[in-house]
Amino acid sequence: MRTVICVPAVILIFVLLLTSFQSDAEELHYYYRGARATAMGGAYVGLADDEQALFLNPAGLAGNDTSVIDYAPIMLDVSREMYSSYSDSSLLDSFDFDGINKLMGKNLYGRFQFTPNLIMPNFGAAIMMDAEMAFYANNKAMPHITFGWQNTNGIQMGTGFSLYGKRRRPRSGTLQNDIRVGIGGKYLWRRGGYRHVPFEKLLQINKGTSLIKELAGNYHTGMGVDFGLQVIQPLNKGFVMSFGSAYTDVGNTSFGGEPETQMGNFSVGTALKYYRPAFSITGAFDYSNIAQDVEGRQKMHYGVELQLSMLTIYMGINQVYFTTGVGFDVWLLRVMAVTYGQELGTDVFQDGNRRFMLSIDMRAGLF
Amino acid sequence: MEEVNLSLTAGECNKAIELIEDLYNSSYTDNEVRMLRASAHGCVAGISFFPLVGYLSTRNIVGSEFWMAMTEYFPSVSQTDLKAESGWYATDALQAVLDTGIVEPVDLQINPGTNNVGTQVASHRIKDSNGYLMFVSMSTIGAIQNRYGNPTNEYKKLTPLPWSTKAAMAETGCSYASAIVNLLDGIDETQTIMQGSLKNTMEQISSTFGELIDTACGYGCAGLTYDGAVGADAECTYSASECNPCPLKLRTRTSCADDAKSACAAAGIVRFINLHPFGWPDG
Repeated sequence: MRTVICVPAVILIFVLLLTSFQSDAEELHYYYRGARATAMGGAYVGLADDEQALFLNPAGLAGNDTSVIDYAPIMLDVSREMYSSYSDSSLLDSFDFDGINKLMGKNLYGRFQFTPNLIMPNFGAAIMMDAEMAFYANNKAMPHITFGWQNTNGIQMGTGFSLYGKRRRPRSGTLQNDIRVGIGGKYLWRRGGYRHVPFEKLLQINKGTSLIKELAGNYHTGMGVDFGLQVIQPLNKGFVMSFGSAYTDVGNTSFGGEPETQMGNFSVGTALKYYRPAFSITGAFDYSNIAQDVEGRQKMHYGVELQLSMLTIYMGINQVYFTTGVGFDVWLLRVMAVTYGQELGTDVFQDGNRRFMLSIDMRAGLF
Repeated sequence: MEEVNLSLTAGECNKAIELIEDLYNSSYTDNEVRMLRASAHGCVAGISFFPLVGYLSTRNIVGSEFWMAMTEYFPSVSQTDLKAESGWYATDALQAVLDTGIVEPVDLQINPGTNNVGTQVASHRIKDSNGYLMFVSMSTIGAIQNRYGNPTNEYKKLTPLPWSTKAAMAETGCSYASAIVNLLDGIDETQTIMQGSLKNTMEQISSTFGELIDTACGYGCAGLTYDGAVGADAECTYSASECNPCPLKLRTRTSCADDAKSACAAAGIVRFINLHPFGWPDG
């Protein structure tokens, strides 16, 4: 037990020491946004115990002992300014000079994700359909504009298995210590990305539609690989500690130069879960995007989940911003509402973006 | 530098200047810093980019209406509002945004010996710089016209601009003439990348005033009136062809003090503004 805990802890300390605390990059872009992971402040890699493991840590698939199909998982994610601008219809009526000027200082963001998936013991497969748009504009004197327009579609598969060759849960129902590894692959086609609009392009803005077409570009394909590791360590009755490490989009998933490259995300995390018959409570911490050149606090994620029978309450800190959420799980329907903050600047507390996410999931157990 | 952008979003121009100025003057300055410094001073000068571009795109600015439009859009009461001065500082920064690989000969440099050496040659600068220089030059023109021309409610002048001879030329008058030639340079360099109604407006300005201003420079150096008659300025005895097109040195806003041709050319431009039918009309 001591070895099982010490090794991941050493890895965690090692990567923290190696982490750069410079900050040149702006917003971190995530290929997949899961509502539960987001509600927990983005801390999930150590936990990895549901269908999100397929996208975030494939090693977690080894811990799954049921077969479920999520046939209509829809996620909608918008920034507060997007919602308030939509409510003020005059702001989005025209994409001309006056219209754009009204949007200065407002960070507009919207995302739609549809990821039907099949999760079985040791295996998962999903379809990805994702659409994002963003408009971040600062500096009224000489506009500094980031325009995001990105569509990503594809298929993803993953497998996870136990190195100890154990079943996830023996018939007695108790969890055993375990080391799990996983690998996933994805075949995607993407267009667009997040682009800084050069000043000279601003001299060409007329009605804006040609700019969108130019920035969106054409679809190109890309293939990505994910690796995952998870260590499960039951402590005593009711407590389970887990450590995880995942490297998604190993070496960065590129799409032929035109669409935005999906940056690799190397993360480590830990979770502590307490089970009782009527409820469970989980705390988790992740340190993510380790290799990326962003300020250290932008890589930190903390989360807590209190799971009751049909109701789950979440709280966390994503980077330095408060997150909270609530979920209702009623047999075949699962609904979650989350609010979280995301840093758009180069340093924390510089340009925080408050967002709201709604996730609706229809699912069915297979066998 | 993100903080500078955020400050300028909030309209906190002076805070943005405080944040960028030390870096601009240091050895760590670069083109991004220079552009940001230009935008910070552009903020003080009254430039709000999209409203200004919208104004230029929708207003039919023909001939002498251009000078009235600048007076209307860039008000300035006195030196205390620092609007013209900010235009100067923004111009200094923009003129230092050199294209990759450019090494400027000494005689073409602006602000030599500083960490932000500029060039009088617009084609040696990047397009972003020349593009923004158009708007900064407009702000300088408008601010100075407001301060010295005593404009009417219809933005016509009641008082001729005072720098109509070499002897009367001062730094402010030189910067005014310099802003006019820099504006025309900026339009020439960015015409190919502009589109739509903004392009139409800027092309109209260039086609109306390009040759007229060069001719005005020539007449200025030759001591001629705005329409080519003798007797406007006894101190300027060069041939007109020496200053047509306008001297490169005139792109430096302080050149008139130590370059007689620049001073004469600048005086010729001012006489054009005061008296030519396409100059700033009387109220």
